[in-house]
Amino acid sequence: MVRNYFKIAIRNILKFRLYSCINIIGLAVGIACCIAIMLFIRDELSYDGYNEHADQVYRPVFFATFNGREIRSAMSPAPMGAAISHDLPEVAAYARMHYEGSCVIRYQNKTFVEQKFLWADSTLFDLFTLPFVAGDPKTALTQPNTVVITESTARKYFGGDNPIGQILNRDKQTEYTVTGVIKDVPQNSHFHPDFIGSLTTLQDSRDPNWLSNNYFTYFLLKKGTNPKEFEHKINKELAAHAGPQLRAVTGVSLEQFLSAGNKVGYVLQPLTSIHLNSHLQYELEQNGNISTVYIFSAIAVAILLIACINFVNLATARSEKRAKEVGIRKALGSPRSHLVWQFMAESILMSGAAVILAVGIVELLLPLFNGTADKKLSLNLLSDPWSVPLLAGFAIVVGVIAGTYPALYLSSFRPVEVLKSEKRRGGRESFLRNGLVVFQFAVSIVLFIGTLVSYNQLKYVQTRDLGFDREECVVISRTEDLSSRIQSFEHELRENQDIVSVSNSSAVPGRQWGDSGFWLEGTGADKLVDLQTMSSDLDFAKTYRLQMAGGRFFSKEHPSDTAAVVVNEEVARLFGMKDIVGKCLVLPLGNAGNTRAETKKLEVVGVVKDFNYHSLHEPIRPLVIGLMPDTSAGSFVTLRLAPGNHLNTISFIEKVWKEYAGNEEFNFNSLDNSLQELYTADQRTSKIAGAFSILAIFIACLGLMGLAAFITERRTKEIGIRKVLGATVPEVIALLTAQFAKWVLIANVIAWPLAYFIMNKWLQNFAYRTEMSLWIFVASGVMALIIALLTVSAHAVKAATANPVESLRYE
Amino acid sequence: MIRTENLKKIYTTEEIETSALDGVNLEIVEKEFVAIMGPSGCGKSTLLNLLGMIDNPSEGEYYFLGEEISKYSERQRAGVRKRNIGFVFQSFNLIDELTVFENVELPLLYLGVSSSERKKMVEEVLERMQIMHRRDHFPQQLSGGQQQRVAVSRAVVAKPVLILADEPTGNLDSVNGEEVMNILTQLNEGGTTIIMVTHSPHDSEFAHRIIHLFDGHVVTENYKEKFHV
Repeated sequence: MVRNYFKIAIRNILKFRLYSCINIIGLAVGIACCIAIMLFIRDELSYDGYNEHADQVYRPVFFATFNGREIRSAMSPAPMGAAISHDLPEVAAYARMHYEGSCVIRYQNKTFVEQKFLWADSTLFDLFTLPFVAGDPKTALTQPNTVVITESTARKYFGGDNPIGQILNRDKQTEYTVTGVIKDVPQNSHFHPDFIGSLTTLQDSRDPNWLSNNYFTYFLLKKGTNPKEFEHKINKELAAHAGPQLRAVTGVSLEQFLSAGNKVGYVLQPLTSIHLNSHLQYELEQNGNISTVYIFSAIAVAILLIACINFVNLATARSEKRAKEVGIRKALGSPRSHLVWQFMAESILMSGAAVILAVGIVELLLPLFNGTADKKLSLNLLSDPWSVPLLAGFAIVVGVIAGTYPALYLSSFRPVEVLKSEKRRGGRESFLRNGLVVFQFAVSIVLFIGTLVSYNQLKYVQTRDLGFDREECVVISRTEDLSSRIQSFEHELRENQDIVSVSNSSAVPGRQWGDSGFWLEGTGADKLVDLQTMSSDLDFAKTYRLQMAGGRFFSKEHPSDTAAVVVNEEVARLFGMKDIVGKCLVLPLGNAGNTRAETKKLEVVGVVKDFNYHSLHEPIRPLVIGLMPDTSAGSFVTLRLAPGNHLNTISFIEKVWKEYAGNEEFNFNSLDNSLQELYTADQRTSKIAGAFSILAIFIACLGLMGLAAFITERRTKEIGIRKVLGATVPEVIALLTAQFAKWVLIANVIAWPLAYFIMNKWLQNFAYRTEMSLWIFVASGVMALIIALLTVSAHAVKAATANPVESLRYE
Repeated sequence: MIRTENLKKIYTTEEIETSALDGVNLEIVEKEFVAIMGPSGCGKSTLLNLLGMIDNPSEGEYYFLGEEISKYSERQRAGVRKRNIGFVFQSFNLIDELTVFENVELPLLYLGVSSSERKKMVEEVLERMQIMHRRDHFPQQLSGGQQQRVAVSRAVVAKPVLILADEPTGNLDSVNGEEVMNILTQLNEGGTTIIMVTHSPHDSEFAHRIIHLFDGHVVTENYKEKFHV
């Protein structure tokens, strides 16, 4: 019996090739999208899960509110790990990590700028599963000046030589002996060090200061520990340790500080939730985003539904072709359940074929997807024992989803009706069919609108006036090693007439900025606020073309500027002052060892107009700019170039750099480029979502094409009669396309509010955003209409231009 | 074998009720060959559908082999039907996607006959109907007469006690029509009860009894020859 079903199914698939192709190709493309998205999502959800103790590792992160301003930092104080693990029995182990940005590593005559040099406690390998290829995880990082490197780093520096015992130089300051080699850190990890130096090398790691958060701390909790209770205990510990230090440094007790409305505390993050849910200041790396996972899941479901709807529509539209068979089978004694199973078997067969085709599509296009998504996904058909059963299961699920309604519908035919007359059934089921087409187009239009809105927003963030002039600027990084020679370096650059201005600073827009607590003179430490900080030389405002809102920028004429600061408007707003120029900010200096409160007073000499020095995802934070001392150099030198050809100027700059920095790598980038990089993740999401939208439309159109073929075929006789009665070709085409146009219009009515709601939510991710203008909606609707009409017009034209005699004889 | 009492079939649309059969009382005995005649719309096909259990009466009772089946569910009716009744249609109603052999095999599949038994039975009936040489062809590749022979083969392959034929020669030329009538007669002589709806006075000559329907009523019953139980 089953053989009989499959026989009929296969013969039907072969007989109605157009319909079968539409169904199988549509399903295959839909399933391929789904597989790709599922691989993506599985990868996103798998982050840090490779660690043996993944479910027992937690990271405390700093959540505080100082005078109404929230601070959320991924870091915690240096002494926390040791103190908590000493005091609380729940801790099985802890490890800290520390990161200080890029560095230069030298080995013999090899020199590389490295971005991924971390320091960590020797216990790191108890918490994280980082298998050793050489060396002993127990002892590798117990001594100062030791380093563990990854396999590929070992290859890069030592080729085939044994790395153990080799000495690497960091920034010409410290030497590290390689004591271990680990396998490369899996891609689905929230951090990817190439070098792990022993944290004990750093003097600061023994700093008892609880008031500054500079370390990433991870706890391995004993099995059965309740993380909520543990978090509560940590915060108690915080009060016990940080309270006295706070009083010593600021003269204010923790109780006073908190009763002024401030909040301080640590929140415990499970290791496995960091990648998708942690978006704090000072993350180890840029994390993924759970909303991307949601968006992609929704797209996957939408695309699969669209493909399944094609199946339902074409199967029910073609029902009369199968009606006779149903009637005969029933007359011969087949119960309805047999027929339901027969049609289900058919749709499962189709979806099985589609899954096989989809696997081919995925294998073919996965490299492209990986490139766009910056992933290393693979299908692992052979190596992953689950993939084949999963795909088979997927085929069955899709087959059941797509086949249930057609099976129930087709098997419901009554033999009396279908055997005698070629009775045409309409009404209810064509209403459903129309509804489903409307749904397909509504989803497609939502995806269209979403793509356009995100494209628009990304264009906006790249062109918005940021409050400074981003054009014609280049930034040289890692200039701090020039230290006192920075002045003459800058001086020499200024000699070139194509260089308009030069400024050295500790931070530049788009990079990580520091922060510190301040209070306004006249108030107390309980009025502490957290402000972003940076230091620059005299020319920063000039180079970036910042506008002054009041006062002045630093200047040579005022030697007292060494104790002065320039703030942005946000600072004045924060303190509720119209004119803050002339007021003083107080910066607490003391480290925790001090018993008396030590502070530094800084006079505000000027207010710059607010400028966006972070990505437009974030609002402008209050900023304090201090003057860089002559003797030291900040990490960045920004040069404003004269308009025109920059190539000569750049090579001039590089020549001067070589004079001063010798063999140090010349690291430069245009300011505009580095600002664009802030939106790489957004662009990636937008691109992928855009591509999937196009595929969704494509699948919907495939279905529409099939439906159009069916409808025009069914109306052949009507068209013939109309033409005999005098209808012109355009009239007939209009007649045939009008109903499709109507569906698309209805789809717009549904799609617009839905798209508005969803994209409005998405735009909330940005502190600065475009308006969703009406034209986006109109354009998407019109586009869908045009695509739909083009799809159906081929059939309509064919039917309309046919000789009416032919079409009448057809019946 | 068959007894109906006051059998009624009423079709209801939104506004009108149409009475297709209005109180038909009928008795058909085993091995009888009955022709049902009457003008278009008189209820011939409706009666055949009711007798063939592919439709339920609106009112009245229907005894088939002693069982009252008018209130049976579709599933129950299918059960009775597949064991006892074979159908021959005017438009053959073969499944286009199945070969001659597979079409004829279909009723046996629903009866759960084993594969080797099926093969034997199908081949036997195809031989008998002289269509064996076409066993692997699809219906569209056959002439009308051949198609109807396949349809008849399918109707008889499960050895039903009753064959219902709805204008079996309606789509055939006279030579092929004659042939089909001869086959039906042979089957009847072999012991199968036959009820046939026809327009053709010529075909009705083959039957023992002719029932004339008009507007859903039985108007006359003519015994062509004496038929003894």
